Amino acid sequence: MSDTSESRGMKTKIMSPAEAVKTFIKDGQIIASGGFTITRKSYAIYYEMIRQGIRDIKLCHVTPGGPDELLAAGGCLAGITGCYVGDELVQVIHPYCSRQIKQGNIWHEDYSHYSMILRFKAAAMGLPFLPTHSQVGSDLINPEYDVEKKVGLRGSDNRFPLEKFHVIKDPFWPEHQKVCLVPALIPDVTVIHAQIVGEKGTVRIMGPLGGDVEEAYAGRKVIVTCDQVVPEHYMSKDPNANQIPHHIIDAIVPLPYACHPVSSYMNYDYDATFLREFHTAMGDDSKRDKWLQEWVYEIKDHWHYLEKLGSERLSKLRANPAYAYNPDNDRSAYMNK
Amino acid sequence: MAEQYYSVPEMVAVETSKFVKDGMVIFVGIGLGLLTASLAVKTHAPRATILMEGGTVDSRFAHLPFSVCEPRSAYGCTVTTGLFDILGYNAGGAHADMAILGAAQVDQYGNLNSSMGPRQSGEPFDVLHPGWRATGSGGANDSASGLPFVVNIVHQDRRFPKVVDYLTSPGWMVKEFENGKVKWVTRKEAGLIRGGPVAIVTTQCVMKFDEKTKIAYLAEYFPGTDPGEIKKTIGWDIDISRAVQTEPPSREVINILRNEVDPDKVLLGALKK
Repeated sequence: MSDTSESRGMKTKIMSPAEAVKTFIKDGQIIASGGFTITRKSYAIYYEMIRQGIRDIKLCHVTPGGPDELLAAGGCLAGITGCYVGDELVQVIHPYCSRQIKQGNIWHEDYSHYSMILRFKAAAMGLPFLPTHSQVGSDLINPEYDVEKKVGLRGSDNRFPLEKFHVIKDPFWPEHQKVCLVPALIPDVTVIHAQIVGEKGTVRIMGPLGGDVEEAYAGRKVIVTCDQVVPEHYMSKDPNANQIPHHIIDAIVPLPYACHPVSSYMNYDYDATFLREFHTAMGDDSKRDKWLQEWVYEIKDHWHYLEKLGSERLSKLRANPAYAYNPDNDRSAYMNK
Repeated sequence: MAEQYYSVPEMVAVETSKFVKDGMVIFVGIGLGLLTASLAVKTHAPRATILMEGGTVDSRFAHLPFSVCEPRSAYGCTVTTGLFDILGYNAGGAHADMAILGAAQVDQYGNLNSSMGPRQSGEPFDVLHPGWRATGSGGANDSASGLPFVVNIVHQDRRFPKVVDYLTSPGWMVKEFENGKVKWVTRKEAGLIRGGPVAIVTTQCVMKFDEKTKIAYLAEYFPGTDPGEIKKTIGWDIDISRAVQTEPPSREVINILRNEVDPDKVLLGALKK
């Protein structure tokens, strides 16, 4: 870490994934998972949550991914508030999560994708709700299917809104059309990943952003894993490229391949073979515990994880600057199915 | 009958791509919709613009992505942004022309179910113990609420109930909830002032919506299928009087699909018949 003149006198936010989890993540919290399925999901943090035996988590996100399945299998989750139970093409429906949901072991509150980002945006703005066209007419707003109410969270846990949604008639225009209001969602901790973060915490995400900016502003505490930490004067050279100001960030976790097995645009691609094995193991009772044992419980820390993967495997994931991914990446695990 | 030189998923992609007119701004998720839009861009709609909800505009893929937000999804795009801009401004604010969506069930009014249902279709179910669980809405509800849309679905028994078991994405007649009761209203009455289903393209046929009743009727049936047999699989009394047989796709367009759009069989390999 060079040039400490800017950070002199200020407590550093930089820490390891184990420290970040130990300091900020507690049982029973509402945790927002940033990123988007196979890009920028901070697996290093989620593995650590399982190792530290975190329990009763209410997971939420704009977009889900493998970590939902992982944390469910690791025994961390009470429920999930989100829009999708899967990892797009690498696992269309999460086998373990979907089974737990059917059996009533893990609850799943369904909103639409856009409604979820609006909920975080409302929280980010300090507003109680925001309006949308989405969800009217659908069973997403059917009172019979209000899951958080059915599991007793409304009215008893003041982090959860009294209603799932509310439909109003617009007061301003003559048509008085109906719109759906969605309540703010304030995570106790938001976890995001960025390619570059300044020493004070300025965040530069590269590639499509998903819902990370909204989730970061909404969170009471924000952990950002990153590929590189740089001096803030470097961030000032191109302020248009930065999305989140430093004062929103509480912990910076610089870590190569923090998102492995998924990708970080311009730095590394996803590990298709690993994802295939992981998702297959999650869906198989005889394989799941063995997989967790091998890849989570017997792993000391992230460096041990990288060592186990090996330098050849990791090197082959490195992105080509002309593409922001590796055009020669072995994706055969998902082809010609 | 001549030997079939195309697969069923390829037929569906080609038929769906006919709905993509040149110059259209199209919203797609991961799956057949992406394949369809990519095919349209490489054939009759070179000026069509693809939007994806990770935050990309007008991507020109060098390699087909596995996700709408992974690095491959952004290749060649003119704007990278976030989910809010795509679903809020473009889908909700109708700065797009059409969406292509998938579903587990579709009903007579083009309502989609991609979320959950009871073990026996038509039965009530406990949302804490659903009989089956699919992915959920994703961006489907959002785009169906604001845009005209085409639906892709595998043609199988129990996928075409008269009324979907769970209404994920709104068609022409939708639900309102008042005092514990469900009321069926037009989508406009419910507050959806824009958009609506335009067609359903299955692995056997194409359905469109009657101007007056807004109920789906059989518009086309694929070579090798029979309208009478198709009618038996549909949960409403579907009108088959207007159905014509679809022309098989040209060899040229199949070659483009296989050699240029998806040479690695990323999506073609993933889609089941």
